[in-house]
Amino acid sequence: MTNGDAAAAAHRAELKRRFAAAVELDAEARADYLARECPRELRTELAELLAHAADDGFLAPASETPLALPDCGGDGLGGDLGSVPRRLGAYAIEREIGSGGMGRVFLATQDKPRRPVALKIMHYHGSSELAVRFAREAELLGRLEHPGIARIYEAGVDATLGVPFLAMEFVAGAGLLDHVSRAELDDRARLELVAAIADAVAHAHQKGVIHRDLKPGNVLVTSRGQPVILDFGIARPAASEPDLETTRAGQVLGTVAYMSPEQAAGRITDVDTRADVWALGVIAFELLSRGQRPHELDDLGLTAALQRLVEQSPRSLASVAPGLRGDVSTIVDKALATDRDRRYPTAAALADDVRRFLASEPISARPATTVYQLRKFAARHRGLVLAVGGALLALVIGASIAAWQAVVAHDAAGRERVARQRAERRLGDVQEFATHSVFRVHDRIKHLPGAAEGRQMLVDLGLEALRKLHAEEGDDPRLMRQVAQAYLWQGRLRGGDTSHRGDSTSAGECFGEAVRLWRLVVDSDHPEQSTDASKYGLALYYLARHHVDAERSDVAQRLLREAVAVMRPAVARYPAEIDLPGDLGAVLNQLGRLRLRRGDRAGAIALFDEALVQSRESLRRSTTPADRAYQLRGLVVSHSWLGNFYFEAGELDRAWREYESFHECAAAGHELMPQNELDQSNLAVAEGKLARVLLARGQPVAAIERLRRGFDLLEPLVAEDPGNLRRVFQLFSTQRKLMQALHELGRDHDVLAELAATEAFEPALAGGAGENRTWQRALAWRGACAARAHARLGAPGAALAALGATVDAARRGHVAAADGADPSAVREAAAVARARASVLHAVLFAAAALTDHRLIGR
Amino acid sequence: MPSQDPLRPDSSDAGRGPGREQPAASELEPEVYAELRAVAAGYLRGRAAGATLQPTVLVHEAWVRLARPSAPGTGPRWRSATHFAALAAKVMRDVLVDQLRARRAQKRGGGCRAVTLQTALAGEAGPTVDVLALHEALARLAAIDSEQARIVELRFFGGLTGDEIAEVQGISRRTVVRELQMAQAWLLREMQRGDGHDER
Repeated sequence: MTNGDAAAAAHRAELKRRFAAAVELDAEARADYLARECPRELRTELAELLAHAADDGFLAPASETPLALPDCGGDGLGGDLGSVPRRLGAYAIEREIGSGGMGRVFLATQDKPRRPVALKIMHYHGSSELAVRFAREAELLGRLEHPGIARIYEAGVDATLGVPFLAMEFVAGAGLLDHVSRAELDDRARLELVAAIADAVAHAHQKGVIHRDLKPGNVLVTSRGQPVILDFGIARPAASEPDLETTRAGQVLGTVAYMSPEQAAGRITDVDTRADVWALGVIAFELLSRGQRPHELDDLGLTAALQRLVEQSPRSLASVAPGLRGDVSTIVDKALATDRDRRYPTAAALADDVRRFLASEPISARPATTVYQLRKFAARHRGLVLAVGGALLALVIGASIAAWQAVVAHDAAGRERVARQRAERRLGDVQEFATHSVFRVHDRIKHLPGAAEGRQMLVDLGLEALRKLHAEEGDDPRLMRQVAQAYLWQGRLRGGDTSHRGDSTSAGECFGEAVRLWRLVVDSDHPEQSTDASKYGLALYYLARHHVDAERSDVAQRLLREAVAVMRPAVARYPAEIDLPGDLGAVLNQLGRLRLRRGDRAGAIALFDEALVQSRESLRRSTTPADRAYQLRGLVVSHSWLGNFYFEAGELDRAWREYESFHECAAAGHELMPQNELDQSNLAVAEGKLARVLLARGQPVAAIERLRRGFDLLEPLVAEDPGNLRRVFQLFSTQRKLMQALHELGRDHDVLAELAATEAFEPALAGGAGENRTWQRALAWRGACAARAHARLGAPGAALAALGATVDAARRGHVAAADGADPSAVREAAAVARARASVLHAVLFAAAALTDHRLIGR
Repeated sequence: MPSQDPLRPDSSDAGRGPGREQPAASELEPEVYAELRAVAAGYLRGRAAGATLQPTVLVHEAWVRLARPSAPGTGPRWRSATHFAALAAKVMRDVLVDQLRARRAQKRGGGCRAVTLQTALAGEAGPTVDVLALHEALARLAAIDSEQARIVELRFFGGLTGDEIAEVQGISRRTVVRELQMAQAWLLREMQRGDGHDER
């Protein structure tokens, strides 16, 4: 750098500094500033700049700086061709017959041989590389010879105008959509048309050419009914992509609607013949549904449309054209499988299946299996959730953290106090963001079916963001509260009540971390917040439940007592805290449950009763339906435990009363929040509990009615989220009880049908529940019931086989109960013993049946 | 609130802070150039007078095209649309200026108005800025303050927001705002001085 440069740079820097200072001032103060504070050598320039300063303007952040286009009075081709050229190479142009995003098409006459051609002139020009690739592709396409594909006569670049052009067979015909509506074709004729288009595409596939941009606009139908595909691959001269036509409003037209998910996702290497199969599927869908499409993309911008293609599964043809349910829908749906491996591999395979259908032969495509459909369903909702959260949240969190870090970095330089305040504001912003966006979104979507994975992702994101902040600013109690809350959510998603994903170890770690942070918050001298007691208490509660599940009752009990000590005084101190009493109620219920296990009957009842009082207090404080439903859930738990207690004690009437209250609360909650899966499953469980009493009273018919109702409530929940083991187990238990009731009615065939239905859940449950004694007991009950049914039906072999597994389950259940760290697991052991007795009973049954069988056999 | 542009999902990279690498412009430029040229040509051609156009839209369109399939051997090689837009800003400027010059040459004397930038809010007729005049003034600015000129380029031709410029240039957002404020005043003054291009 020369001295002159250095001086100029210094001058510039000074000018900038002065400008920044002066521009903040009003006119009068500016004049003053110029006169008094500005060095003479800068004064003139600064004055001039200030005179041009404006808050808005073409560089202002708010201005969208649209470009006003010149008024040249020209037509569509603008400056390049000026107007329609009369000639191009060996072609005499007659008139324009179409135009698109990439070029215009003219009807022209070739000199030699003399024939009409469609002459397409590309907008693209200026790159010789493009022209070369364009020519190479044209040559490749020249090899395609099929009545369903418009022939290419010549491709080149006009020497005078420098415009790439393409001379194609001129097809006199109507557009595909026009043709079908004008000719009023029936479904059969439409299918024949689809098969004919697929034939043409298949020919290209055989020659190694993929169209990639099939759409009705690229298909003409001749007067003889032959569809002809135009623009085979040429629509994109080599370097580009299917053209994206956007209207001024930004709506997406044309091509995108026919784009396969892999194309929309930009997975270039995945684009193969199956992308064309997809497009054929969309065309078939549109023809057969009379104008609808598998994805609704209307009113979406380009990126939103692409996103929907990637993230949503297409709807089934049968859903918009119920008359085509069956083979036709199966064929079209298969062409439109999101996973390209599930599509027809080639257009030929699609054409074959269509023809098989037309010839009334069995088609090769099979309707999607239930499991597959379930997965698709979950994927669809995951898509929704991701669309809400994913990209935007990642973006915002990332940007906020960057901004925060930048501020922290600048702190080091000095100006501590001001920077510090600003940093704290930033921190507040990010925290607020984390709470409002991540957790609010989490809350909003948590009752959407299939949202579990999306929620997990949101919470992961939020936690990650908070963890980063925590690492920077670890001693801030506000932050610790948020991180603790995030851990709580994490834990609940991984293995808690909201969605049991069977990952209880990591869930326990999350709860432990939440409790650890809360203890730090409480020990700090940061002023207490009204919500602290409730959140701290809940963290303890969840950690305690984790220990209960792991059969560590004493640890759990300690944690629950800590929670009660935190929450009980806070209930009176914060009368505006709606949830607090109910949350305390949950803690008390859990504590009561542990008391009961230790045989402290009076103590347990006192705790359950207090829990009821607290939950009713929360209900009293609640006004909104969501709040009331939440509190009702607390009441449900109290009644449930009381009912269980009386039931085990053999006091069936008192048990019935508690279960009725349970049912009443659950029904009220379900009515308030019909979309909430927890309320729905609670109601189902209530039916099961009442059925339990009915069975014990010897009223199997009434029990079956209740159990069927429970089943109908649970089944859709399991279908929506098969990964939620808690629901799966509830459904399993319902069916198990149903088996028992049916058996008592002597309907043993029905027992075995239910048995078969429960077996589907077994692997998932066995994996998630393992040695858990409740599960083993349920297995033992079910096996015993099945064995008895087999025996009574005269199938002793099957009965014995069922017993083999059952005895094993009963034994393990017994061992689990006996080994429990809990010294007075008498109740559990008794239940298992009953299950064993039932098994023994079944053994006798089987033995008797076996004897009969032998006798008959002889 | 940072941009909600769904085209920019990768901006979470911003979490890495100011030290991020600059786009390697040289290796990608030919391709981007060809694409932007095509996109800009497509837009400028056939637009009626009074139709408006935003450089941001062009850049996004090019982004979609380049990140989409069917470009043989190419893929989304940009970490984010921000990264891409930063890269594209200079190219966009060249392309627009080239094409507008060519058009002007062709239409000389044809009563064609200069291509201008509307600076008013939508619907209102406000003061306009001649793109070619801006381009030349910007070249003069680059001679005395290249960083400020680059910031203007990113803002105007790349359509980047203040935050994004801050991220790309590794400076604070506040600095970006200040630089733009001064650059705007400087450029307006400069364009007023050398009003030679406006044929109105």
